[in-house]
Amino acid sequence: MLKLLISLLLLFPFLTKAQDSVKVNAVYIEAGGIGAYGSIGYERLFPISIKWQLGTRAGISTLNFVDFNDKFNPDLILPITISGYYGSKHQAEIGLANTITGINEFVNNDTKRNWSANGALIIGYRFNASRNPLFVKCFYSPMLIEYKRLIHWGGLAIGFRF
Amino acid sequence: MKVTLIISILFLFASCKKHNSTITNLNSNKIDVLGHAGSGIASLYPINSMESFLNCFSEGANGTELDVQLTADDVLVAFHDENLNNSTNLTGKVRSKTWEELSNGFYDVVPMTQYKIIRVKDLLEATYSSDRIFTFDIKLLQDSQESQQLYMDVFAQKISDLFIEYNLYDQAFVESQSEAFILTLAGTDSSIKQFIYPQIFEDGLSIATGNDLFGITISTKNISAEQVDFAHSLGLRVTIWDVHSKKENREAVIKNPDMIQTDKVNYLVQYLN
Repeated sequence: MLKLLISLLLLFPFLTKAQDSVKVNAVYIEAGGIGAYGSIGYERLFPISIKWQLGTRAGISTLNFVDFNDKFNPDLILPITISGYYGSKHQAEIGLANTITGINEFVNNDTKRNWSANGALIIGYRFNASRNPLFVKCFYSPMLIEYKRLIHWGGLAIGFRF
Repeated sequence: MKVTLIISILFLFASCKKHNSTITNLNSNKIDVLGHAGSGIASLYPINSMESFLNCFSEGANGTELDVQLTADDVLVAFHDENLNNSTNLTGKVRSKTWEELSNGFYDVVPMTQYKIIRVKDLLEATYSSDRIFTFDIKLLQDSQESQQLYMDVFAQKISDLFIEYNLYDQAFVESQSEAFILTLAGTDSSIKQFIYPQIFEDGLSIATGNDLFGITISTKNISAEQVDFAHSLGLRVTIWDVHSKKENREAVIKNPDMIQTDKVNYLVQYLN
């Protein structure tokens, strides 16, 4: 799944053609979602037609900035997403995500960062305000922890298009 | 602008509030701060995990309470729940698993994390120091088919072995809701300082005085300052738990207990300092 995501991300610019009238960049803040308890991120949209858009997102999040030894050593949560949007003001979203995590754990009497990859499916609704650059969205995002264990998850996001 | 500034200053002072009245108790007139199963239930580190304990110590706690259960092969592990299902990737009871089976498990309450279940011995190996306090909260959760007395005998022996191996007699306590277990442990090792952990203060007082226990561990909701004083007058130490918010911590301090098992370690340490 990770290879598929990377391939799609690399192919995006060739699969799409930009439309000048659409704001194609966005920054957003997410509660819940594929960054665990929340994340901030950047999204780039690639309009395909009037109704269809593809979007790629990359974000960052953490669980703790300071580790259990009271040292500045943040856990790292790095979600990347590829989504398809249908609609204009009201949009339906379906996407795939991969979240790389580096969580500090106590292993063999030492603090070690445990790296892992987790997959997620995203099914959501997005509302693009027509009079300002804001959008909000809600989504269901079941996660495959280490691509083995399913957990049901979801999130809310608010973003600014530019 | 002025209003915002005044509110900010007031908030700053409120958040830095310090305890400034005199503490009177049996613990040299100081309150020891213990983490509730490590860093408490609100922490992102699962209770009873090594990371939770280490975090609690790094925040300045004098020690920690931990929940103790016995595995199928009689290993003492730090774990709270009756079943593994709710907070780990495993199922069933701790007593139905060997340590090897449990050591492959992990807490899965926080997505994308895999903090391990640990043995009590692991905690002591990693964090022992002679001035650190440990309170072992005994969780009696035996298999339905085994004899309760036999189970308690083994449990008591394992606790005693631990106290001997790490010479914990001056710095560790055992607390239990079961008078039967307290008697069993006293019969196995009378040097271990024990606390009864009742729902009702008077019941605890009766068991503690009747069995010459070291003290009472009780929810802050079930004990008043006057009752703490009364227990002290009988020579009993008092540990208060069930303190989650800052307000509950401050209210617990006013009661003059000897120890507080808190869910806000950082706050209580700063408040008492």
